[in-house]
Amino acid sequence: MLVALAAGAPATASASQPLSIAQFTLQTTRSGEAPPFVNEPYEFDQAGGHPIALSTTISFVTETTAGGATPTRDPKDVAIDLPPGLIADPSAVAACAPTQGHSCPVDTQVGVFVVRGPRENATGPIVNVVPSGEEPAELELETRFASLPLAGRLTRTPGGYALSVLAAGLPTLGVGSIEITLWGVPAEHRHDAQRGRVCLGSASELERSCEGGGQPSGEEARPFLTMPSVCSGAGPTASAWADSWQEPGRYDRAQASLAALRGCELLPFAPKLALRPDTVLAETSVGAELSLASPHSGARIASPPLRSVSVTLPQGMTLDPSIGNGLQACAASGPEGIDLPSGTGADGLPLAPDQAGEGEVIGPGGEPPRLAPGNCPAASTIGVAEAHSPLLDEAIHGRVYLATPACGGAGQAACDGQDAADGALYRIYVELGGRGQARSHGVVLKLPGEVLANPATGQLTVRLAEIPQLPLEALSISLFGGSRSLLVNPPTCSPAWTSSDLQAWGSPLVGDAAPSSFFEVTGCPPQRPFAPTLLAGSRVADAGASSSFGFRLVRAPGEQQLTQVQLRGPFGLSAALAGVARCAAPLAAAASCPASSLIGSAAVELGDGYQPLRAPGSVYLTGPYEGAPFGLAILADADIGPLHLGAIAILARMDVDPRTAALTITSDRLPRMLLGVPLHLRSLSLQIDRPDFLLNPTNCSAQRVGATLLGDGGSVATPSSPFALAGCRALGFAPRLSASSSARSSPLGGASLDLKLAEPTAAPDGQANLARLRIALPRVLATRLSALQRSCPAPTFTADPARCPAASVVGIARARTQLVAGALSGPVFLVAHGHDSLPSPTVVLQGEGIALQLGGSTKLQRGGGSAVSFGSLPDVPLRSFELYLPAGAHSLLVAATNLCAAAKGRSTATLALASELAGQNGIVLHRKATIAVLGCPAKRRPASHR
Amino acid sequence: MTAVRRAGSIALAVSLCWLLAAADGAGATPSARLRVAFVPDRPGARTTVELSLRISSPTADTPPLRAFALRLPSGMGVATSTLGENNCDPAALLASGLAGCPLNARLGYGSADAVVPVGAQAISEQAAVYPLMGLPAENRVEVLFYVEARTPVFAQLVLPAGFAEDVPPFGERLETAVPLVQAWPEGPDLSLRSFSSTLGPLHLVYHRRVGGRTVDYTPHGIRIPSSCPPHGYPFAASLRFADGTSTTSSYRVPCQRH
Repeated sequence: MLVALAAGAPATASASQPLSIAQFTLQTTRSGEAPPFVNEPYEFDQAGGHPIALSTTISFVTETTAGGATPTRDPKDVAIDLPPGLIADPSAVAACAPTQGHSCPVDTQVGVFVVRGPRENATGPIVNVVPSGEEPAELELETRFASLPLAGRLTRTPGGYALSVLAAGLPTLGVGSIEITLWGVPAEHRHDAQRGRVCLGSASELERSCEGGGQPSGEEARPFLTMPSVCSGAGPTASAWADSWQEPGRYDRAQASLAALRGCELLPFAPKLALRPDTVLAETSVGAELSLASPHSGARIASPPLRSVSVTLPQGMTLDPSIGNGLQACAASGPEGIDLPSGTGADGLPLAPDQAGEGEVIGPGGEPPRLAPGNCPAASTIGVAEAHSPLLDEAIHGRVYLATPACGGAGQAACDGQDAADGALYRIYVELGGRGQARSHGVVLKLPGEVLANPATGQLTVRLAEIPQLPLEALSISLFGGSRSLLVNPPTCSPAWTSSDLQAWGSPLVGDAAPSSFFEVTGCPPQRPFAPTLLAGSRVADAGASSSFGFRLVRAPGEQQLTQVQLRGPFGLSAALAGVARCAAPLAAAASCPASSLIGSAAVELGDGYQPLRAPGSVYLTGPYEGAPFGLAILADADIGPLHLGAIAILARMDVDPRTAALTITSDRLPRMLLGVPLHLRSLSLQIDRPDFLLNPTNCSAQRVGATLLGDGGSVATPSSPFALAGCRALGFAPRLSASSSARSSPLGGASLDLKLAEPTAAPDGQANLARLRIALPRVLATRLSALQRSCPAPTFTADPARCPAASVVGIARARTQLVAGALSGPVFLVAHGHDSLPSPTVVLQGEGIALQLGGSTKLQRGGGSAVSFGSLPDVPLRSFELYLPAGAHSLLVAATNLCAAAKGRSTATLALASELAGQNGIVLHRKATIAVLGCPAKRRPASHR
Repeated sequence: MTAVRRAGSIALAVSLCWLLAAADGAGATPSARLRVAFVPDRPGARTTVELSLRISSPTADTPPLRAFALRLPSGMGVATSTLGENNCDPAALLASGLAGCPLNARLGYGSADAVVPVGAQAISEQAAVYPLMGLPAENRVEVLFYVEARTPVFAQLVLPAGFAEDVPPFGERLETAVPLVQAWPEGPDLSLRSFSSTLGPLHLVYHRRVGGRTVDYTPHGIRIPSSCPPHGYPFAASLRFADGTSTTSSYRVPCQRH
């Protein structure tokens, strides 16, 4: 304590005037060459340079009392926030150990002070001491009898991080002004005259009271002060704060500026960059250390600190979505926030030395606020960071956190590609210090960063902006590898270049640097394998049962990426489309399908990491899509941890095989990138589980559910999964068959035939579907040659039945099924298949976008008459089926004789109709049915004679 | 309607010389057998000529017949009869069948046997044949052979034919065109295996109105020349097939001695 000054100088504070700073100066100085070695202003404006000395003076408003001119209040705490970028390097000089008391060695001296009291003044050395608390630096003002500590600390000012010097608890000596001079290079001989010199006396006798001085430093001449590196705008500005014992916490503030700096173009700036992956294997989860080195020290001019960093990672080194498992984000503030300090209070005004703003904390003993570590959750940690500063003799360790995105959250717009590209989506915090050893120095740096992801390629650019004007000679960011890997190596084996754009404080006069780095990606096989597996099956294994059905495709890491998927359901798996709404195409594209179109759930697994990220989703039925009658919209929520990337939308067409009614799902090209994140689809699972939507086949044949998959290396895989049901024998099979013809028939006028099939009236459920139908027409119903001649050639029919000649249509058919709400109906074509078989009727049933073709065959029977067979019918449930062949001049059938010949007086005659019906479950029924000839003339009864 | 009964005087021998050309005897060439009978068979009588033509082939596939000509002995012809008092329109025939033509246009009865090869099998179709007096044509008598099959396939076919002057020992020939009948698009063609028909009043009943009433009557048949050639009445048939081959067959109706 400056007890010497207290003699005869009682506190005489005014009761009315608060403590006011009358003058606050900041200037580069040099000492006079002769006693009293007054520090005189001199011009020094070299950015990054080392001035001879820097002096600051705080004078308080005084009032004249009996004791002389004293401040209106007794100063208590005085703090000076040095201009951001002004560096005082305590490591440049020796430090005085605490045990050395107030007589520190002269080689620890870094400047001189002058304290002016009402009657006496004091001058003495300012020495560098080993910090006793949690401050990064500590100086002391030494007098002949005592010392006053000056705590040097890192603080956040409105202008950025800055060094601050705090003299707390000044004695009530009526100090009117304090002048502090720090030397640029303390060991220089020019300071020898003032080194170790101590004076105490009245202003007039001060010089005579001096002792010591004239001592050289034994230290190497190393810069202690370095000027900021910014040449634009006004000169560097410092702030002074002071409160009083009478009104503690009531601070007066004053500002002073140095002259604008020049010579930024002379600042050396040659940072280096290195990106070191923990593995160089292609397309493998990788951890990576990004190192930036920018030596600070320079003999005459120091290198400017880094101001912003933009590092573009190698092409193909992309985000791995599997990082999302268990990942959280760190908020900007709050109980789980990084709490970025701003240097201002809620009112936007600079914070007084005793005010703790965001990111600051007041010590438990009421110590001045200091920067506090953030409260990012551990689960938001994605890496570690480390920095080296010449100001500290130890590395500053820290962590890298995933920051809460600026989109996609509550009350925010959904994230889009622009957000990914401009860094609103992927953001990070780099926190240095605050924990471990670094905390003991009171150094806490929080750097917000952005990761820009190219929405199309996924290439990443890491940006850190407004890095504090502190001499960070090395900064490294290590993103985790292994099971917590954030990145994936490029897929191709070639040099992977990392480029950068590094900007210094002092830009644009200091040119940007663009160092680069590369590593060789290895381990690429000549051809990446592609052997995904498929699992598929019904949850209920009973034939004909209502059941959900699931597909699961799995791709192993390292295999080619899936680009397109086609899934083929088993023969007989039917979808009851009636009552299910269709998601309109625009809604499907916007991933906004209504619940009424929901038919199942989906899950996609993403990422080539150790544990792929599971993205749950839903499957919706859409209307016609890409030429198919239906489509599927598979929408999965792509939430990579706290990153809401929106929906992964897989649109697919769903075809119904016209001959087998089997369902085939063919996707569009699978999305491979979502907001700059390559999806690396590992698995795709679909569970179609809408109640009563799917019906199992009624055949129990051993089948295989197949898939055709395309890989991005051009490979095609066709995995399959066995599928078989049980319980077919338990199904019934009792369809009802009836037929009729009109009596109005003739050889030329033709004959009609109306054939009807219906499910049994009793127990219509639990029936096997029809597999095969054969009917043998009686000889009297002949086939018309001219109808055969108008058949549609099979190639024409196969290409498009609509191109068949109209005359090839010989009838109509109608079917009712629970699969669609309405009836399926359509024409019956006569299709010619070349020389080797008779033209055969082929039924085209259409409805609700479905088109089924029931191909028949015709054979002439021995003894005349023809037999028509429909074999290999689709395994679909039919409530009814009707085939009508009308009579007419161009009918298919003609009556070779009078059909009513057997009527025997009744209005209905019958013709024999042999039939064979086979169920999908293997039951075969041979029925001798009849064709009712309707409208036969009743035999005239003989007139009655009365 | 009055039938045209003028025998054509235009010499068609040159243009129809193919009918006279003998088959080249190739192994795949079909052969034909012609048989003719008179009912009654008496020189100078009006008769019904019964013609029968059977085609056989050394291979399973008989090429479709495209034309045949029946050559009649000198002095015999429809013109010598009262057959075909009315004419028949082919369109009406196809539209309405036999009922589309007047009864008095009929010239006789017959049958035919055709085959449609379907893969390894063949559909055999038997048809009824009705020779009818066709529409009047210039310089020659037109005849229509209406062929109607009913089962298993119902088919109608009209074979247009016409009488032309021939060279001795023949007087006239009946040239018949057989249309190519493709059973269905890109399918096989129908092949005629046998063809038989009568030309004459046997089993024919014509009608005419007499005093407001319909009266049945029998037309006069074809007159058999009174003088029988030494080896009988000569008949011949020439056949041309779709594959370009042709064949002939001849037959003499023996002279009946009374």
